[in-house]
Amino acid sequence: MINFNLFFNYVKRLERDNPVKAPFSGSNLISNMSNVPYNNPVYTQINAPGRYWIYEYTLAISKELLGYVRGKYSTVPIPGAEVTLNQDALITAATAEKVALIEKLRTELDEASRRNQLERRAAENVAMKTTLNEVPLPIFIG
Amino acid sequence: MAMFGRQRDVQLFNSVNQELIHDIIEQLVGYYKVMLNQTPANVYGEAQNKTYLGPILIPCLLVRGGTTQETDTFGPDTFRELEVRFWKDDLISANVVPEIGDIILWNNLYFEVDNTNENQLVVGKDPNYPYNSDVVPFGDSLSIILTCHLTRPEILGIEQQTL
Repeated sequence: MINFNLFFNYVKRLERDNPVKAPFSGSNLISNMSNVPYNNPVYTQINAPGRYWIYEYTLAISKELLGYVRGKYSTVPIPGAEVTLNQDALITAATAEKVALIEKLRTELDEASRRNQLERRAAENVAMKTTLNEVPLPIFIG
Repeated sequence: MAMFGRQRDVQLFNSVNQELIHDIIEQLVGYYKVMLNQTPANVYGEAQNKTYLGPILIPCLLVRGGTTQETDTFGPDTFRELEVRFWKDDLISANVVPEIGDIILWNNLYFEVDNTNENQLVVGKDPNYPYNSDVVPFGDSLSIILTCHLTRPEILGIEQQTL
């Protein structure tokens, strides 16, 4: 005798016409922002553009941190004189790079969103219809 | 307990000095040290002929004075001053204690040390003289600055040997 588990989805009759009803019930139900299933991405599963973004953002953070480290002593004594460290330049550059990278990420995610994909597909359909409408009808000579 | 000038801060200063003096500026001078045990003195305590040890090449920073000429009854003479700024760690590595009367060789010119000045302390503290157990690991003596004047190798008895 072999044991099997049989799963089936069901919808209550009272809820089947509810437009905001979750497709599944149970512990996976998302009720607010706190239980949205955001998982930490695994680095090995990130593609090359994503890894390059991480590399650039890490570089910007490192630059910013180095700027703060060098800001503890803006001038460093050398024999008989002192040299000025580039704290301001590092922090300014790092801040600008971080803002640009966040904006780039936001733009790319927005372009790849479900809504944009649907809009693009709709535009393709319209273009396809227009193209097909321009195709001449065959002439039948009887 | 002081918050600034701990040994980690001193290490930061030392790393900056190391990179700047050794890898970026790379200015070297030859240092001749008087060997007192082989320099006989006369009855007045004066040594007419000195014996030097060296030269040892030591990295440093230089402040070059201009050359001036003066003519007197014995003829023209050339004067020039030179300020040699050593990072103290370099002197410790070379095992050299600068003293008045030592000779600096730079650009085939010989300069005699007139004065030594060790007065650049990180955050104003020298860990060798704490006077308080709380400030032992704080601060550092960073540099020794030598004030020198141009001299002639004939007076010193130093002659350049060429093959």
